Amino acid sequence: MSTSMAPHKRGWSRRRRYAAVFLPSIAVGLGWSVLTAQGALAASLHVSGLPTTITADRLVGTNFAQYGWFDGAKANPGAGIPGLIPVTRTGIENATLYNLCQSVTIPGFNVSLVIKAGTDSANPVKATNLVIDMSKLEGNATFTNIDIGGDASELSKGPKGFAGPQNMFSQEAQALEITKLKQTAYSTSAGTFTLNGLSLEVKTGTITCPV
Amino acid sequence: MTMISSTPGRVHQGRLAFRRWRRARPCWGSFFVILSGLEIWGLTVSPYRITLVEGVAGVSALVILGLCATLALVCLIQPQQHAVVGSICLVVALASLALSNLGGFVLGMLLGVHGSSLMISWRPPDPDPAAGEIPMEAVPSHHEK
Repeated sequence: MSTSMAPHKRGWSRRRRYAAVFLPSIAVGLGWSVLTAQGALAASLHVSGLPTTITADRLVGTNFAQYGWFDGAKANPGAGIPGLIPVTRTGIENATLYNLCQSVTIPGFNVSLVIKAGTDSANPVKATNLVIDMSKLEGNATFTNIDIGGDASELSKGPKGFAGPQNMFSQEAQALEITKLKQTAYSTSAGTFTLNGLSLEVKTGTITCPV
Repeated sequence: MTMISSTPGRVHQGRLAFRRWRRARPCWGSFFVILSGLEIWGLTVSPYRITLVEGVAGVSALVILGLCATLALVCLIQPQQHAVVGSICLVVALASLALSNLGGFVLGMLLGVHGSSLMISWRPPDPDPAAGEIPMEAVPSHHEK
């Protein structure tokens, strides 16, 4: 790396110029993250493949639909079909979440990622076109105008275009409210996620929400 | 290193040629940019069907991976363009914060910014006068250290 060695037989990176590019960019990235954390900028979330624990004090949503599905994630010895995990795929067009906590433990590394947001009840988390593949859901749920047992391919109340395969069971509702929500999800995605009061932490050990 | 081959000379020459090729372009920058694209995309791998349902948000990670891979390849094929390509990679890396999982939970964004900074600050090797090579950049290469 020394500049006194001439001539240079290989290309290299000029350190000062590297710093002149890298540092301002990181500053922009940090500023962006801060604005996201304050809810000024929306983020787009789409994670899948690892079981994620999601908890929230309260979830209020409109245009809800749900159908049975299998996720072809990593082979799960507990699942009935080898390599496939039975889930209910849930779509909510507009969701508001109070005191959201999301945790994933990365297998083999003993490291957990914990995301918290919406801890201040005046500034909850807002999500549009939320789609969650969940294997377990606990909580107290209230549904408005629910239809249970329709064909998954004929869903119409959920997010636009949200429908499943033919002959699969499904249910849909105009509105729902779940308190003391706790779920295990294999895939979470949302068109936009406004994460007020975001905190993202990487911790060693197996940490599961709520924390 | 030449034990496995019956024609050690050719293997050695191949290695030397690869080294020359490698040193004449911003390989590490391209490597980190591709890595960042893979990290951002890897978080979102899921059955194809869902991606269709969700539209833009679901495929944005794939678009980012495509851009990163293409730009990194351009940078390897045309090392002279390193500043232009690196600048575009930088914008892609920063945009990933809004487009996909906060830039792959920040890690992908960091890898991308690192790779693009390496690309932009890259400097081609000095021409070898003995071999009569032409400088890669038309401007004198020693104007900055």
